[in-house]
Amino acid sequence: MLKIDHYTKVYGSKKAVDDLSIHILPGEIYGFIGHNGAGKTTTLKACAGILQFEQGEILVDGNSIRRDPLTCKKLMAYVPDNPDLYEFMTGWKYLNFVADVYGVSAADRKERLGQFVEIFGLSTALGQSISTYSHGMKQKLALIAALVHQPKLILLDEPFVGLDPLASHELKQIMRRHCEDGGSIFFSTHVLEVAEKLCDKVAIIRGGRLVVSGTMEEVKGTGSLEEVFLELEDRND
Amino acid sequence: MIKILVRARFAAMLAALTPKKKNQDPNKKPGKGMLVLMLVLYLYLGFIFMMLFFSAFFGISQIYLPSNMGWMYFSMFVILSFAMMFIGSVFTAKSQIFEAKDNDLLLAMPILPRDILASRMLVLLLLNYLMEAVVAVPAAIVWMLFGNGQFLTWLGFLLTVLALPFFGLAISCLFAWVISMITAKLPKSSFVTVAAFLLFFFAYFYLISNAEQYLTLFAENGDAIASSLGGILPLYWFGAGIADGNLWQLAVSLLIYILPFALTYYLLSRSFIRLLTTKKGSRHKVAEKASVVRAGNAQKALLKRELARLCSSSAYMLNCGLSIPLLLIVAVAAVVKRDTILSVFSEIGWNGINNILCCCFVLALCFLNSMALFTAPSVSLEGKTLWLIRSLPVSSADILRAKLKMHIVITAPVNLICGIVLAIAYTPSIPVILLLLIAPPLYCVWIANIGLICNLCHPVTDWINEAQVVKQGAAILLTMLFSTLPVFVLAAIGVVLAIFSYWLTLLFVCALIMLGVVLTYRYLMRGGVARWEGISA
Repeated sequence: MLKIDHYTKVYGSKKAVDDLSIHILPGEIYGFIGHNGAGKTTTLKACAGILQFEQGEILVDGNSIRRDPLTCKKLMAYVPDNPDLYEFMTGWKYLNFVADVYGVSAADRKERLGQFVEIFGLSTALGQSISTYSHGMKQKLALIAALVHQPKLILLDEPFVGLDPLASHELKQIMRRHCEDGGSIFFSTHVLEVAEKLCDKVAIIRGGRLVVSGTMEEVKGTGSLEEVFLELEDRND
Repeated sequence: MIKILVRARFAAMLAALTPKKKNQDPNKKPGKGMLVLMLVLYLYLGFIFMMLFFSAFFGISQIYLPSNMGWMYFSMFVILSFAMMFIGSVFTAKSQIFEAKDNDLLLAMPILPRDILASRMLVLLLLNYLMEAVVAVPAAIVWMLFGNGQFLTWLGFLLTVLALPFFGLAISCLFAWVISMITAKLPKSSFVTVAAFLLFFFAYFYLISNAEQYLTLFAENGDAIASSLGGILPLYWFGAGIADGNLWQLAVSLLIYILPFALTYYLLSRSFIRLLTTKKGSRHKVAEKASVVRAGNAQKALLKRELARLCSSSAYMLNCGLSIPLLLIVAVAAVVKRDTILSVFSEIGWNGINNILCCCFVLALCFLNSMALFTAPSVSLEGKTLWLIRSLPVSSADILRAKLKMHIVITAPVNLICGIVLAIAYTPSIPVILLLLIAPPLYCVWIANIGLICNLCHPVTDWINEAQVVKQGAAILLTMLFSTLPVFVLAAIGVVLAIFSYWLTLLFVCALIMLGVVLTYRYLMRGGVARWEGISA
């Protein structure tokens, strides 16, 4: 579903991500772990087609994000770590805007939006301007908008930050259902316990370089993910 | 502390003027070349305004100085300076003091609210000095040429120049506070703000245009009016304190300038936190009906997005769309004053005065359009939400086209209406009618294209306050330059060709604008798209 092949991103003279290769199959939840500034967001943005890069290739369902970005974007959805949304719109207007862009029919959007709005408990707030929303509400709205066109691949940057426990639980359920239906999820997180419980595969990145990747069992072995992560950090220091 | 805060304000303003290049190291200082270019552009704008005020003061001096009424000259100086400062800073004060996005951040730090307020007012004060200079320099030059050279007059003028911006700032801040309080409680607050500004703007200009008449009346019946209308007296003191070197009147004038500022600063600093928090807490929002699901297509959605962004921001509407009401006013005034205009020009004795006048109207409409700059900040305004549109499956060309369409759907119909109204009122020949109907709307498209190109070349997406990009951005300045200069070229070509035939004027002027439109559009769809995709989200 998502193939990152020798991806390299350079800012000025600094390599933010260096020769990263990851392969995510349909039905997988893939966790992306690393310290602050490791290159997680830079990678996710490049996958989402919002950041140009110098070397390598990123394929979404076999389509190149560089050569055919529109086809790739139709297949996926991206939610950043700090969702700055259009504060000049109401929640409904924003959802309609996103659905319009993805060409979702009125019947489909009514059904899907009704379902997700109810799950995230946002129905009463959607008529309000987004400028009045809290961080968590914006996060929920961004998630609903990401799900409205039933993407095959969902890219999430720190999706649990700002969510209340109930919404966090619901999101995990949605993520699991999405993958059971054949979709894929690539998400970054600092919450290692969540990654350990939720992910089928995991990759750990440090200083822009991939340190380790594989199935959860391969990466953590008999220990916990936290132990592995800290051990890798110490080893690299 | 104030020094640090002021430095941060200036850094933000500088960042808006000197955008970073693609992939530039974030720690690298901005290039000096861009800074120099911006300085030259500001000087160019300042020079144009100074020339306008020079001619105004020259006229005033020729009327009043021979009859020994220098006080009238300086009263007009005070009125015009105040107008410049107030109009230039009232909405900047609103956005920089009461609606700044970093208010919460700074208030959460161990900084005294009065220091935050002082730092913002200080920057506004400096802006006021710059705007005052545009009026003061020509006033001083004209006085040097035709007025007296008394030491006390120059001293009074200098002290007034130093003190008047405090008065302008005080009134701007108070108005900004009132507008901010009113609009915070209303739905569609951006429209209310725009309406309030336009109302004030036109009322003030109406007063200024009649000020000379009022002052003449006062001069003729000085003592009688002064005794019955004490309220006008300060206006006399302002002028007489300088012109006559009357120290008592000058001292009172300076007190009138300074005291409101001190009072305003005291009041605002005492209630700064309360003002900001009350505004947010009391904001009334009209909720949409639940479950509003409307299907549309992507192109319409993009256009609606651009229009929604415009309508949500009074700063955007006012700074980039002031020409829309001005165009309509000019057209209406030209129709209402038709007979007067025709009689004045017929005295010159030219043949086909209707055609000549309509050609002038075409140039005037094109010139006024250079104040419609909707596309010039449209890329920068994406700001932190740039990730959103970039992550959606819409082509970059479609996004740019939506920005152009937004500009064109607003400006072109207004120009067309003005053209039709003027054509009906002045009944010129067929080629001139066609020129009136085609050239200004086509020129709108040129401005839309050039504005977007300028913003793509100089995008600023890390702004704190949108006023930075809609008011002070490099793209705005460059667009103004590239939309005003071609009017002079078109005027020159039009004048030469009109000697031979108006058909030639029509053909060449429209062909020239069309060529500009085609070339800029072709660039936008190639180089422009590449630049758009190169902006970091």
